[in-house]
Amino acid sequence: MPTTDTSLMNVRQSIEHANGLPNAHYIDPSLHSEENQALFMDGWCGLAVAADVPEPGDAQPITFLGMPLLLLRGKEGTVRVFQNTCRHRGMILVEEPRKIEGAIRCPYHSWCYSTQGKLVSTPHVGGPGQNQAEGIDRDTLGLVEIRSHIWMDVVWINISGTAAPFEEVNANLIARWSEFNKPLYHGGADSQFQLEVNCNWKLAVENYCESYHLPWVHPGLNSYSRLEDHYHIEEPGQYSGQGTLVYRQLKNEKGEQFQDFDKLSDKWDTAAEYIALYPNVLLGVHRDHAFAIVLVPQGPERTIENIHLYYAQPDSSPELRAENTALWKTVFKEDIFVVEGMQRGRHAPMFDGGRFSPAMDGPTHMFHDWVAARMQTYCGQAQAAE
Amino acid sequence: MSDLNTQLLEAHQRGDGAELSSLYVDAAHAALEARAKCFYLTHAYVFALEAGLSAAEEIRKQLVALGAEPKI
Repeated sequence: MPTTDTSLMNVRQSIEHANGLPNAHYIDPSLHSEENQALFMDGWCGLAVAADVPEPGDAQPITFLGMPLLLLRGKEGTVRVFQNTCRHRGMILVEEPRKIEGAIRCPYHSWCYSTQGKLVSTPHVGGPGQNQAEGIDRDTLGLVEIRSHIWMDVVWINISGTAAPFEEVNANLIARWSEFNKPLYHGGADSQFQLEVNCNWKLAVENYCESYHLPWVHPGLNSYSRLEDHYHIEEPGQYSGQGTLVYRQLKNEKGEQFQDFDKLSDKWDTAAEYIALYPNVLLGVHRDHAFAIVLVPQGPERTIENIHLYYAQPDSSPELRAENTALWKTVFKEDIFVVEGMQRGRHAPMFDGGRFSPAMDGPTHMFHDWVAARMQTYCGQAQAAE
Repeated sequence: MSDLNTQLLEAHQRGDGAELSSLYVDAAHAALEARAKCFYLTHAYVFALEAGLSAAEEIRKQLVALGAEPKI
């Protein structure tokens, strides 16, 4: 039975009066489980990126919120997400990332599935040498597919299958960034990295979507990107973040720069935007590159951040890409002590969720408000069910 | 057959799906009973499917003809 926390009402007050989410939302395993249900299951959340399975037949097992899932690019090129379990005895099908040459064979009794998830073989299911049996209808026993959608190369999933279509739910952001609705080319192995941080995933979101901390935590940005050059991005119930008006392109010693995305409006000459699309994906767009960070909760106090960088052209300079990856890695690593420090701070029993700067913390409060609203709805539904 | 058994065990050890499929076809051909033939052909089919071998379709047809595999 979910906990009904009256302090959630405090979170939902106007920013001048609101407190942040209570400590338990960051450290309590049972509340963490409730949040997984309330914040991840019914809506769209990020799982991975399509570039994780670049070639037909590529399969990547992913444990997400404790669920064994399988990201799979079918032989015809379509990326799908399945439960990584055989329809026979629930055995895990794929243990390690690998290429599926033909079919996925369950290592237990060798039931086989196509890369589209169709059950194609049920050996000896009717006895030795007999591969059909009454009640075993292969057409209804394919891999259980998780509803998915790809946007900005992120593989979004709706686990319950009940959400409105992704494009409908996220129409506002898709329109906002419509100029980036064009091919994004993953930079490859040099353009991805993973950070493991000892904090609740929400702290990574909260830190990402505000610019207040930039001059203090990222002094290197200060020389050209001052606090007053930033603006808030706030779309209640959907996303929040920050934008800058003074984005400067990376240029290496040879004077090389990345090519711009085609046909961007003048705004993007110097603008860049960084948005947390709730719950767990952090996106950034610039005239010459974009990135996606998929946060994968590992329990209440640990999070994996999978970071991927994208470019406008498939043949961008490897040296420049490496430099850009190193730059972003430095920035994101600078944030680690902050999110881990806030996590440790959540064990102080008298911490009351904290107060927000009305001028600077709007995007963070907006995220808290979304969490609180979802939790209230979830608690209400659970109570009604009882 | 004991030679075939050894080869099968070695192929299993190596995880060599193509070789396994081929050896199980041989085992099916050597089998005297229909049920044993279907048993081995089923294994040949499964490993051919897993390895993405074109031989899988021919083996499937044989299993269908023997009543061991549903018609598509």
